[in-house]
Amino acid sequence: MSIVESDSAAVTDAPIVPISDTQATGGYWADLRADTPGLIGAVCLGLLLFIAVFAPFLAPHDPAAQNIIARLQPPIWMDGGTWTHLLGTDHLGRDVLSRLLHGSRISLFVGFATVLVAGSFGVLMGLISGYAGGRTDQWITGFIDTQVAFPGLLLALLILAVIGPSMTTVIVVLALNGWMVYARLTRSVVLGLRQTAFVEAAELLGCRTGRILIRHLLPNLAAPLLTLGTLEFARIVLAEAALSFLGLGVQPPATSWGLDVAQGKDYMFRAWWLVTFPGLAIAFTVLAINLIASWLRVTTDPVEREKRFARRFGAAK
Amino acid sequence: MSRFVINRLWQGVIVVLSVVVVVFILTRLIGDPVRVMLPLEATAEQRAAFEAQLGLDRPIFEQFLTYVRDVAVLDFGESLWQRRPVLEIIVERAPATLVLTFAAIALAVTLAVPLGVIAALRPEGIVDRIVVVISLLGLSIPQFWLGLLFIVLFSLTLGWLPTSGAGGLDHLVLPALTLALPAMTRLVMVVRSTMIDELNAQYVKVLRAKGMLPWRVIGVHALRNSAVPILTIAGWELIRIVSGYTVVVETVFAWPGLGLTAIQAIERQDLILLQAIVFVTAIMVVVLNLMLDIVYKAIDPRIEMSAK
Repeated sequence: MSIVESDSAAVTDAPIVPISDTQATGGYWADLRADTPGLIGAVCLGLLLFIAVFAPFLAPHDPAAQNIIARLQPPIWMDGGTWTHLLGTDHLGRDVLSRLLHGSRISLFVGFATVLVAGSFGVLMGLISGYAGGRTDQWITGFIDTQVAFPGLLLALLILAVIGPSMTTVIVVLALNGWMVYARLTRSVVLGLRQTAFVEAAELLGCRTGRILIRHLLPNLAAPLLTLGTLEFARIVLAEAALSFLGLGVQPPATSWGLDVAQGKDYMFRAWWLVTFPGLAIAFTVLAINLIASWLRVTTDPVEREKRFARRFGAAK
Repeated sequence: MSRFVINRLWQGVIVVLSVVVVVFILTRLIGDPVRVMLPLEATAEQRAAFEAQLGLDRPIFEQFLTYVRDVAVLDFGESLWQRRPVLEIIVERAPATLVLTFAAIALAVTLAVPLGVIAALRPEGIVDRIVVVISLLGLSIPQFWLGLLFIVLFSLTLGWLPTSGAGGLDHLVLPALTLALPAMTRLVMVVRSTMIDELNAQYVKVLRAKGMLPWRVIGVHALRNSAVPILTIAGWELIRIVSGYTVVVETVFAWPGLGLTAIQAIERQDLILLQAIVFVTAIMVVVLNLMLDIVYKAIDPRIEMSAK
């Protein structure tokens, strides 16, 4: 459907040279290279993934190893900084750089896991709701509307206080809070596609419901879901950091950037680096993901792509 | 209109009821309140006495009925931490949260609208690029960290504003700003994109061709037409702030509102106080949602009458 639309737009906007769809967009890879911020985001995220996977080999020290004699050492470029601790040490003498590298694992893992759990459940609910319609649809949308009106974070606090904080609880709580957006998006797309000819054809050919949902409807959801998942990923990284900062997320001796900021807060006046570096790491990660998300949003949305294409053509003239 | 309001009221009641059920299931069935609230070294007799005091030795169905009855008259029991009625604590702390919330949302809207409009005047111009970059940064910086940076900059280095606590207006500035900034960045993007679409519309061209002054075209006609999406997002942001963002910011600035109290209640294992705060927040969210729906309806009659 989208191909037809962008083709007709290419014809009306560019009467001089007929431009095919592949030439107009050049595929995703060329599209990413043309979009500098998106490319920067992708490279940064790639770097972060590399760091997260190889953190034990990259980190110069054990992130939990304490050394009271070498506590509160400043970064290398300040007076008293040493080569053994490039970014200094915290109040227990732990190496800040090693903790930063290891912290990336928690952030990215919690992000991926939550998006995966919340996304699969939300998409499943949305598919059922949109395809089945009728009573089922009413119940599921009613459920979604009710849960959207819940005070999410406070309820999360209550769950964490009752069950006790851990990485698994954080993932479960964040997924419980976030699945509704996927369900809503999926439902609206499915509703739009249900009456189209290709779904009807599949039904007439005798496809089972499961096959229609997975083979015919799900692929059409890939692009919007990918964008939404990326945006949610950024939100989850921030949420995990905030929960850990409040002491309700990842628990010591595990490392998390939010936890490090909370611990460094008490030494903010004497040792600025304890708060600054983990905070920067969070901001850097979220920014990278956001850049990718905004590139994805434009690239995968036919309407946005047409707009951009038209603008480019207008500028060239 | 009245049918619409009743419909929405009904929805709100369902939300509040489900919060009651969820809180009950969480605190009584999944969690063990005695284990959470009493210290580890408590004896078996102390545990039994505590259970009897909270009515936990009764059948679960009876417990639920008592619970619902108490909640209905806002009787949340006595706080374990402060040894006084929970309602008293909530009434004492709620005003601080409300003041902070409304200061933040007011700040966010007053900053976002002019910035978004200016950015929309020349899409991809210099100002627009700066606004987009700033809002991307604002979206990516963790709120608690931003608050700490503000404390370091404005309180410790420049000495302009107090670091924490409540008091005069000067105490409100940093927490409100921290709370407002992420909301503002999201709002700016909405103002910008809706204004770009409006300014490309036919009626704007007609008004310009008629010779109407640009500020009037933009400020009166185009802005009024983008009011509904802007207000919708502003309403969402308000609800987001109420339903949780205050917890983080109040903790950073030791602002004595409900959010800080919730964290203190968790630290002191006071589930009774915590569940009351969750419940009161749920009611606030429901009431705000209802008010916002009525406001949208008043602004834009095209919004559907029925609930769905």
